[in-house]
Amino acid sequence: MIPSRRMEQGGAIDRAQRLRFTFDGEAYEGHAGDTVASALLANGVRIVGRSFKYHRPRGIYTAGPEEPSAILDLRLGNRHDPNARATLEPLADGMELRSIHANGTAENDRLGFLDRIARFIPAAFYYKTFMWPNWMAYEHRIRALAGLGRVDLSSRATSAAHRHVQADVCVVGAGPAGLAAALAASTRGKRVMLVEAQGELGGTVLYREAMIDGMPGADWARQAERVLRDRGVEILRRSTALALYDHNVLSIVQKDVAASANDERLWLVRAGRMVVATGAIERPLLFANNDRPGIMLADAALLYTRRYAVKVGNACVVATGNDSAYEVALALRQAGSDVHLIDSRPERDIDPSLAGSMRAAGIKLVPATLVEGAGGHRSVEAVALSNGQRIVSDVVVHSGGWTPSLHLYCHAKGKPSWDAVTGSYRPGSAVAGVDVVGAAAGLWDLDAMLRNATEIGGGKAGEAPSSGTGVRQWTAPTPLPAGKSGKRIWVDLQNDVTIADIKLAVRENFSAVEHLKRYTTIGMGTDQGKTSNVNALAVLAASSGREVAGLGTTTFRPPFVPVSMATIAGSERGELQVPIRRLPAENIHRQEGACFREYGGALRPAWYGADADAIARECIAARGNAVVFDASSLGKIEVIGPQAAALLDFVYYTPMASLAVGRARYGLTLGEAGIVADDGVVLRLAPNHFVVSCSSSHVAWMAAQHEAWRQDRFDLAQVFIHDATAHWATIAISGPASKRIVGELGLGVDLDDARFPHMSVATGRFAGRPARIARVSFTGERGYEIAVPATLGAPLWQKARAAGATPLGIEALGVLRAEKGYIYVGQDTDGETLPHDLGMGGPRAKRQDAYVGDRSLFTPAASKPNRKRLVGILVEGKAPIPVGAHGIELKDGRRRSLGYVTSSYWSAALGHPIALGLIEGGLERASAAIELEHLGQRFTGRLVPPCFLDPKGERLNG
Amino acid sequence: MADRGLFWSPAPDWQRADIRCRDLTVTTRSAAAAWLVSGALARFLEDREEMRCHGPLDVCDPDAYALRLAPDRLLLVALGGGTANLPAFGWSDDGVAVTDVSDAFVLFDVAGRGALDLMRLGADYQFDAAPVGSAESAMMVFAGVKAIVARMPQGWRLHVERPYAPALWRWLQHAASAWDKPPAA
Repeated sequence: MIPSRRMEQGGAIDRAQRLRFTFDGEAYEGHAGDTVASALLANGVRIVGRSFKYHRPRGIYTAGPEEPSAILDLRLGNRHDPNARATLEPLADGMELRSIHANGTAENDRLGFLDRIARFIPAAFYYKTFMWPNWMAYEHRIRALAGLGRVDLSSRATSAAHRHVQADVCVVGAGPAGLAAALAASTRGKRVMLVEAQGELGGTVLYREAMIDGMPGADWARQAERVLRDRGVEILRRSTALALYDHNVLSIVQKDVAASANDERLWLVRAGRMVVATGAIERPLLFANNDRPGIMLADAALLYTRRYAVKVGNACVVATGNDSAYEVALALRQAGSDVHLIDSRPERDIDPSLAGSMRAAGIKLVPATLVEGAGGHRSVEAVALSNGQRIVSDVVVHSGGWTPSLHLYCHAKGKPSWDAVTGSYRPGSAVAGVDVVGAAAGLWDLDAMLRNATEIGGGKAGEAPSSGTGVRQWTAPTPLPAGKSGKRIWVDLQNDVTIADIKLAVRENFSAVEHLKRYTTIGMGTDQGKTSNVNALAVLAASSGREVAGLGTTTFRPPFVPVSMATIAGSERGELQVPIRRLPAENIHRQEGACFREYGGALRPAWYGADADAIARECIAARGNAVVFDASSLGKIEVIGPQAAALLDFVYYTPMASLAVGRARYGLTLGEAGIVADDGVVLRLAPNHFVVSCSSSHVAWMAAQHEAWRQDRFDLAQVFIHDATAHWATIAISGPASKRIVGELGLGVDLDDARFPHMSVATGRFAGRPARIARVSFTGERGYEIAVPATLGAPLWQKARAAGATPLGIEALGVLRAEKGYIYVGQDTDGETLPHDLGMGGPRAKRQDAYVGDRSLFTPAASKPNRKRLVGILVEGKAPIPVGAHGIELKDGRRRSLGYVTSSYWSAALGHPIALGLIEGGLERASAAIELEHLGQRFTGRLVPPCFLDPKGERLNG
Repeated sequence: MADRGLFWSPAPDWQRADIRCRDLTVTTRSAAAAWLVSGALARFLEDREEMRCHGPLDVCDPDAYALRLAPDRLLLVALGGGTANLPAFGWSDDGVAVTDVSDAFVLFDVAGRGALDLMRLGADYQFDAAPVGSAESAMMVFAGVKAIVARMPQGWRLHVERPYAPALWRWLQHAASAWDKPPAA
């Protein structure tokens, strides 16, 4: 039984609420208000994971997002997080936690032996060793040894929709500076937003001694929150700013958006001004074995002691070179620990009052001394000092100084500048719309912070909260270890990078900061070097005889903390990922037993019924009786105005201005390169009123094309484009019996062939509303397309069915149109097909006026005789040839592609397979016989005209 | 071949589709009549004093309103029936083009204390900003689909083209799942 390290009093936890959880299979208890890290520490758990490369035991090192080691696999109900940071995760009842790097448990890792062969696998070992035959041959095994948590695909991930907010001022960080800035900004009628990563506002004043405006810092923070809420400031807790993009767009990940689940939500904030109050991150000291469990950063130890009532150790060594750790030493002493305070500064450089207060509290202050190394196998047991002294200790807390957290400032292209006095980077160049305040700006005196933040928030210095805290040497350059201890000194705990690794990189001339990062992996990983980067620069500078200021930094890239892909996706998954168009009568098709597929961005019936012969049955019905087809997704783009005819003449390859009122015409549209872009039917309703019925998948593009050309070369007051596709349901009825069936619909239109011939359009009525009837054919049979307002689509369909029409799906329609040689643009054409390749060279030969794509039809390439042209292909045997099969010719013993099959079906009407294809030279080839090949299988075929059925078109009036 | 109708949920019955939460309601409506009007709008509106063209921030009369879609285009919507004094469909000598789009849209009324929060989930737009005049287009991408947004006295009205209405409806259901359900009667 591990003795509890929870102190009997103190902390901000709710001792009345006990929370049960497990770690690596062992049961523990914590309290509401604990983080996972504080609960593990309170239970005396020292080893929480194994290191990435060498599988060394590691403990909790920090208390924030910079944590490099305490990353756990977390399960809670349906939630699974394979890489949860113990320092950020609030403890919840029933949590199941596991260490992620260990093979076994964190305590007993079967791969722990790797640390004993560490000398043989230094930095860049992989790059030099795994070169033959290639890296991929080894990658999967190495990743199995390393890597972070494993995603459980069966777990329920967050799917909260992104939230968008606009604000005049967005303050990131609710420490004293952030609160002061928000208070000042919100008094001036601005919309202010405040973002805080922790569950409570206040930052360091929640656990460090501070008096602001005459009250303890925590009380002041709570009062500030009340004021801000009263002023309508939007406050996001447990929300971490991930990235700052152009135009001050800030992305934020918010935890716990729903009370019922530990969900995450992505916020996107667009702010006029961004105030970065993200504080600073403590830098570690560098000494041998400084990664042993039981060694942690000083500020983290203070937080665990005061906020979570955890006694972090019995015999504590506090190592530092600045004043900030003195309060930590005092707190540890007050918690009942035996404390040695080891300061690298000589006594004369230490504030006498500080030194006096330490000694008065019973703390053994050892000035002018460095910690040289930690001893202990599985966790720290003693430390060796530079004065030769050895201190038995179960905890070492250390502070090498502080580094302003400038990530957001750097995302916004701010250039930090090196401050040799504090040994850290501070904001350098100004960034428009972005202000940095508080410790992030390199201010360490609380009064100075509050004044500066108030002014940045728009207030006057006199309005600033007052602290009265004196200036101390809060931070100083991290002292580097002297000499060679022969033991490893860790710079980057997450990537297992030591000082020796950095020196090796320098020896091998990877001494530029970006090269160093890639050679050693320092600063990579999920912590992005938050605790290691500045120390790495100091070591690099010392190793290469340069100054830190001249080294530069690596690029600060979003996100600041890891965020799951599920959170980035938000609600865009499943049905919500790519919205698809739906037919107005879809539910009727479902009742009819339709099997659906997505065609051109619309969900449409592929066929009806579950039997294998459904498609053939529908084809036979179309040729023998009548079928009804839902064509509602076809475009209905209205072109209206005195210049409508001229616009259509320009946009269409096929002339449209000559179309008579009440008539319809099939036509092609081309892109500017002359490539066939769409085909469809244009109806002329009135002299100045046309309807473009284009392909379902091209509606948006066709509407945009018409609008673009309208704005490019027509009088904007004389022609207008209205996409009315969504208003209409279009039901097509086709087949020898179609005239009778349409007659029974009672549309009020004279269907006599003389007055209503093929390619005519008329207006009737259905259910008391206008109906547009066009006599056109997709199938080669007599056909009628009836467009009614969308809500009448289902009744019209049902009436046609009642009159005897068989439902027709898209797959059967594909067969019927191929029997006639009717193309699908995009299937029977490709990115090179010109209209004359399809046998539609008439307008190219005759038109003298300008139209889209005209000049491209007369280039030498467009006039080559051996262009791929549309042909019909008849193959021997009963099986259709695969689509994509190539026509081939053998030349000098080698195969050459002549083109390929674009459509291929079994034709129930003809009793043999048919195919369409694009073949060089088309029907003008010297021989109609052709060899085809698909995936090694050979076929023999014959080129024929693309129309297999009724070449004279007599069935259109059948 | 897989039946993709199993992946895509059936479209709801628009007559009965609504969402009721403690602080949020979404109700479905159909326009009795809607028209796209393009062209000489200044003269068109001058001749029809009862019509005022609205941007997405102007509060509309829920029963009849005009929304700006483009500098030369507006959408007229009437929930209670036809609007008098409207030119015939097609080209008018007044210099306007008129198209019937009465069945083109499904309308979703978003209301309640949570309405603004729900709108914020759909688009990067400050829905509660002060009106800036009718020059602004009411058309935007909302929850990944093209929608026309009108501000109403009780919240907002989303106009979505009928083919995309099931997609927006599923999104509204998903987004509203974060709101508490009302207590059982």
